[in-house]
Amino acid sequence: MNQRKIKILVIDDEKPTLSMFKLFLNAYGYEVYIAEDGVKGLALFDEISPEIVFTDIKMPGIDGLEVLRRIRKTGKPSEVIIITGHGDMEKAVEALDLNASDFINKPVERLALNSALARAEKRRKMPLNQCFEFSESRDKHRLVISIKGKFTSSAKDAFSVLFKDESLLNVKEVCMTLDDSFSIDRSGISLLMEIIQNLKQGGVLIVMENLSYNYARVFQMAGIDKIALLKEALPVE
Amino acid sequence: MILILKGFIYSFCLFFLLFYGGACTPPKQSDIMPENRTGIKTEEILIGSSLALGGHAGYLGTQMLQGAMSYIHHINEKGGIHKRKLKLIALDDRYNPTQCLYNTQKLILENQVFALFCYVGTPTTVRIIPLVSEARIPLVGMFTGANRLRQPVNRYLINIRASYYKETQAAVDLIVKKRNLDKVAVFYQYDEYGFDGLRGTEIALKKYGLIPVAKGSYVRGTLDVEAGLEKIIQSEAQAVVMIGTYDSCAKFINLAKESNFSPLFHNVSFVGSKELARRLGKNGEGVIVTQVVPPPNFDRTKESLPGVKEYITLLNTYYPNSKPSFVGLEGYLNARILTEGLKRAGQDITREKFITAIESIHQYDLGIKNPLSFGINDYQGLDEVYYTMIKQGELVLIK
Amino acid sequence: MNIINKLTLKNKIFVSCLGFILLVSILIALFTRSLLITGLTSELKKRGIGIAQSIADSSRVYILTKNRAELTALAYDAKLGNRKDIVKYLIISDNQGNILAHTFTKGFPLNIKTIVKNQDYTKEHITSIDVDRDSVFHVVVPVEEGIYTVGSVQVGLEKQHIEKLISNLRLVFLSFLSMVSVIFFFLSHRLALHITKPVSSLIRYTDQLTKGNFNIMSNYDLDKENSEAGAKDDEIAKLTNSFIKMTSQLKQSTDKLKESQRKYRSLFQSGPNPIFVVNKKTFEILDANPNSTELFGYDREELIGMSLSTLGSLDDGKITPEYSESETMVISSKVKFYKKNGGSVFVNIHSSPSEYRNEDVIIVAATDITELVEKDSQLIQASKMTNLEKMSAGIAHEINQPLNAIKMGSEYLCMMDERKKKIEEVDRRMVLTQISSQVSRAAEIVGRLKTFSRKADFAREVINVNNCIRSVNKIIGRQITLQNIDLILDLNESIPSILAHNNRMEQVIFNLVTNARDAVNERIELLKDIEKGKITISSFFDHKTVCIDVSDNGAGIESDQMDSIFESFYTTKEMGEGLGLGLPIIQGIVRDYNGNISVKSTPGSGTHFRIMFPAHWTGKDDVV
Repeated sequence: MNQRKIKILVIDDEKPTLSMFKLFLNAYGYEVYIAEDGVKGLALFDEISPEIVFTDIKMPGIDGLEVLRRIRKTGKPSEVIIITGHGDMEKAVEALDLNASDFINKPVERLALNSALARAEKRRKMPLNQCFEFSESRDKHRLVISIKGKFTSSAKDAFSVLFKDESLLNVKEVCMTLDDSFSIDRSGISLLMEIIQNLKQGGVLIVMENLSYNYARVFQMAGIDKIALLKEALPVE
Repeated sequence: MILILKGFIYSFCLFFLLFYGGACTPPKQSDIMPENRTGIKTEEILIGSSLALGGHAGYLGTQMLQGAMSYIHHINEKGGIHKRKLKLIALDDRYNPTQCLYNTQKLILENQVFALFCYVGTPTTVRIIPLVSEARIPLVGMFTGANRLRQPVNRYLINIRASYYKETQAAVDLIVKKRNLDKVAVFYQYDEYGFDGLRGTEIALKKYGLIPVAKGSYVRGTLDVEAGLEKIIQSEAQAVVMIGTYDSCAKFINLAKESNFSPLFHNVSFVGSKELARRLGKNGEGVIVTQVVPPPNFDRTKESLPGVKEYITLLNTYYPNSKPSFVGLEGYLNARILTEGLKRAGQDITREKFITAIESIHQYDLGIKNPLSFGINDYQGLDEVYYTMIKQGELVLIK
Repeated sequence: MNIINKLTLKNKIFVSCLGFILLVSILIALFTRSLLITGLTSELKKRGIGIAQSIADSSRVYILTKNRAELTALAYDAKLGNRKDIVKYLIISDNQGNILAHTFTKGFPLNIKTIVKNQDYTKEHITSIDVDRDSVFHVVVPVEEGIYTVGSVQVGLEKQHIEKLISNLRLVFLSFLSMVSVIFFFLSHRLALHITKPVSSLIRYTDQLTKGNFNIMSNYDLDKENSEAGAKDDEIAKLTNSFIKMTSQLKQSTDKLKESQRKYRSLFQSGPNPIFVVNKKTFEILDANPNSTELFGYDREELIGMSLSTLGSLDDGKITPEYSESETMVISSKVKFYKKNGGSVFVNIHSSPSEYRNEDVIIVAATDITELVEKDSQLIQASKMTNLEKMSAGIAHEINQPLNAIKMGSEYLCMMDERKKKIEEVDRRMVLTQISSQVSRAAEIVGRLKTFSRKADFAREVINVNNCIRSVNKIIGRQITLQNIDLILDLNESIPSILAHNNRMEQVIFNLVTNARDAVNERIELLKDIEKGKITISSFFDHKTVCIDVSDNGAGIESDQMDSIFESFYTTKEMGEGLGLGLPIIQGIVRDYNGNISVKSTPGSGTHFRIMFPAHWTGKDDVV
């Protein structure tokens, strides 16, 4: 535990939500700042430079994504967690593009909140802009790929090289392990889907491990759960 | 078309009815032919006559009447005709037409005679033609050959003697054909009778392509023959046809002879040949007289005609003082016809029936070798003309 | 007189001509006759007097000499020659009246002696007497010797003579007139024919036309007949020509009429829609086509005589008995009619005035739109569903908020409980209260949803549009503001009510607002315009109308799209975004309430919808 309390900024136009967040996060031992709209939120951000930001997507005035965009523009490191409602897939993916750390769905569950907070803290410790790395290990018919950093379409070449390897022909299972630093954007999602589909055609089982609670949701929304087995990271209490 | 025809008929009928019907008047009583029984009594038949019993032509009438009456008496004595006796009422008209007219009116109206009988003379008889026609009374036997009695044909005028035309024709035939004389003059009485004869002569002459070289005349009732004679003498006629009466004709011939004018003298029957012969004496020699009846001479030398014989016999019976004459014979013949007609008409006699009876007489032998015929539209009995010549004061039949 | 009237024209002419001629002839004949009679009579009398006078002159001597024979001869002379015809008798008498001479051959007439005796001999005179049943003019002329009258000549003049002449004349006249009448017969016949033959042929022609037979006689035939009747160029020919023209016109018209009658009949019979011929005043059904029996379940015989109002209500202002002169068609839409079995059908009524068998009628054609109405309802439902879809995101979002609050609150309590941490009193109270109120909030949202989706009752209610606008605002207002669009309500609180349904009206407004929102978004996103979106809902009224305006500063509608916006399934949105049913359904609903919707738009700067409804000033029948 740091001496200094971690500062969390919560931006939401719903007052009850803000109250609950404040209550919760206070109970978790964070220093909670609340803002009712994007503009006020950004002002506060500039002022207190919080380590974590929770922001609702749907807000009057500046919406959550715009907040995220401006925060990223400032260059100040901050974990921004987007609060989403149902069916906001598009927004979610946009947020990913903008390097959102995580998502949580309303109504917010404790588990989800905890997961997001844990991840945020982990990521905080990791270096910024972790490049995309993956490593592979073979284990009989099982291929394990560890992925770090931001998964974008630029990974395509690497993967294609990988999968052209004839030695992989006997592989029956591919397991993708995600590092905590793992993040993905839109192009990455589509690439991932493509890879998985290709593998699936070859009759290969695909497993994804160490998905954060929220990434699992996102992948579910994308429909990846239908073509791969998604395993979530264990929740942190 | 039918419509037109119908319309035509319709309109015509309409007009016809409208006008012509109106024009029609009921027929007059008089138009209906009555069955006239005037003059017929139970036992008598009245006959009327108006004739010259006196005056210039008195001889003619008297002779005729006697001839007729002889036979009538004869018939009456035999019982009459159908038990009716003939009664003749004779009135003297003195050869005067006016008188004749008056007498005839009287006979018809007052005497109510059945028929008229034995008229003498042309002007007289002609005068009463209207009466005869109007009264529808038959006139039987006229001592005249006038054409007017024969033309136009009148069923009430029953002529027995031949016409003057016939006589003049005969005369001309003899003169021109027989004697070859072509200068023919005519001397005529200036009246109906004379004109008639003249006309007849002219017609006859025309047939030979001749005309009379002279025409002389005298006034009836006068003896003024000189002017006429002069004219004829001037003409140097070879023959003279004379249509006159005995006195004037005798004077004419006598004067002519005195003037040494001796053409052939030719008289017609009406002249009264016996008287003429008597008055002419010697001058009468060679004078020809045409006759319409045969001479009534009881000639012992020749076989006499039965008719003539009967006439003479009857005349002697009833009029012994009278001598037979041509005129008398005519009268007798008239009576013969009259009685015959009456007889044929029957008991239930009417004027019309009488005339019808007359019409039925065909080829009736009068005993004069001259059969007589009547018929419908033929009321001219005898046609024969005889030539006689005065020889020694006697009229002798010549051929 | 009737007989005469009954004659044909030809016979009339003929009879009148002939009759006239007859009349004239008779008149002439009578006139001439009388003229003649008088003339001839006077002539006769003159002649008679002349004869008598000449006889008198000649007889003077013989009277004096009493020469009866001569007198008789004279008397008979008077009857000679052609005098025979006029002189019936002639009597010469002395001055005592005794007959001296006479011409009575056949016998004296009965009264003649008395007549003679009774005459006045002193002067000349003529009397008319009857002798032998004959009428004679008895002329008496005195025979004078100096100043003394010695006798008289009395002549009986035959009138028969005159009459014979007259009858001869009559005969002549008769033949003449017969000839004239025959000629006239022909002439008048000809004349009549000349006039009537063309007329008869025209009559024949007309009769044929009446029977509808236009083809029996061509122009040529008629012309030929006319020239035969000698009517080549005269009035008859002109009449014929005009007539021919008229008949060809008539033929054309009749043909057209027949054609249209056929068409009408076939349309009537085979028309897929019920057609009624209805009396204009009484609305009694005079005729109904087969389809009407099919649709309404009544027999044709049942329908005829029935009032149209038996089938359905006619008095809701949709079928008016008044038609202005120029109107030929009135359309009433969505009228509810009832079948025989009680079932209802919805029909669109097209009515137009006409004439049928000399009555003023309305031809009422009904289009069965029951299916359409149902489909409409379904569509509305579907649209509602679409709206619901649209709304669902909003609703979801809406409900999510209270749910989140509740969730977080309860999670907090659980977490604190698990961690065995003490909850501050303040905090606990806040959480519990929040939970409760958020549940209410959620319930309210759900409730609104329910009302929104409910199918409307049919009977219209008295509603205030402002309420609807506010309800819509509650539903979607937040969503719109979330999208950075200003939603402004400018409501006139004094507006009168209208007859409608709340939820339907909400649907309308909702639809317009969402369209406005989409338009604004379109402008901002597609046209990259940064001016802030603004939607204004305003309500206002005048004496007769209540108006609702929904205006936006969105992308606007291109003028070439303006006509199509109310078309079903017309949409400029991408697939999956909207069905394009909104505006048509709005229009339908608006029309249902006898309202009107209009739109103005400037591409790139905004659109302005206006819906107007008839104001319903509150009375005792209101359903509140």
